[in-house]
Amino acid sequence: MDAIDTALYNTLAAGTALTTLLGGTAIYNGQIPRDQTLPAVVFNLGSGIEDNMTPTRSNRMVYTVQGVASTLSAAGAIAEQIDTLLHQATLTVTGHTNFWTARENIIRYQEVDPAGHTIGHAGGEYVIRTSRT
Amino acid sequence: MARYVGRDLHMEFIHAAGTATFSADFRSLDVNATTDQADSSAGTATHRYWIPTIRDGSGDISLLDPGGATGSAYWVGTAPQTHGTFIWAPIGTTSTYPKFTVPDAHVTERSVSYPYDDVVEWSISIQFNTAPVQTAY
Repeated sequence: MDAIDTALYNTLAAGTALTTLLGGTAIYNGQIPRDQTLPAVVFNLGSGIEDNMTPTRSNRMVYTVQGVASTLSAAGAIAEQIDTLLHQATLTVTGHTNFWTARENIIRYQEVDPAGHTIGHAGGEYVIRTSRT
Repeated sequence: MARYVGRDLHMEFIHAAGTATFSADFRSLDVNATTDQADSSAGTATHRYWIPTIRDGSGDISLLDPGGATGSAYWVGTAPQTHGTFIWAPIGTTSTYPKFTVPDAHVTERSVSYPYDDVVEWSISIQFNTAPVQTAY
């Protein structure tokens, strides 16, 4: 994984209130495995920008981080813990200094899978800004 | 030489307490050279005639505060009234590349912006008390 992906995973996995809700470290980069039971957390890089502002390199990465559960309410509880762990946090990123992490957009929706089960999604888009060390 | 961008700019201010080297964190450097002028139009003139009198120069720097020890060094070196030698090299410090030196300069202004959700940026103005001298590295 990319260093920021790793830092994001490590931050989420270290949240005991979150992992208690998940029943473990069901936290995935990209997609939730087909055989994984819910609830789970999934994160994806939505956009990554090289700032090119100064000779010191810096990035602005936006990740979608969401809880996925069998109800919207349960997904919302997971989203609260994600927010506690990430909003205004300073992530430990190898090779970078993280100077800004914040939720920029809130995500909340539900869908019905082909078997008729309701699946809730809740979380947010988090911007993570770093400079290279 | 082809057109170029400012990415390789080297810039430093040597003062009594040390040297502030801004090369890693600058956003821009604007160098200004002007002259005063005197109106020598004759009474019968139909158009004003100006004579250049005395030159002036300054530099305006924009940079991002890196914090830590480097930020502290920038802070010390950019306090208004700090006097020193200002050097810039537009395309870097490789041997034979152009180098501009102002041996007598002082800081006239430092403005710092602290936005809630963005990086901290400084604007610094340096008055040149002598003309820049062009040499080569």
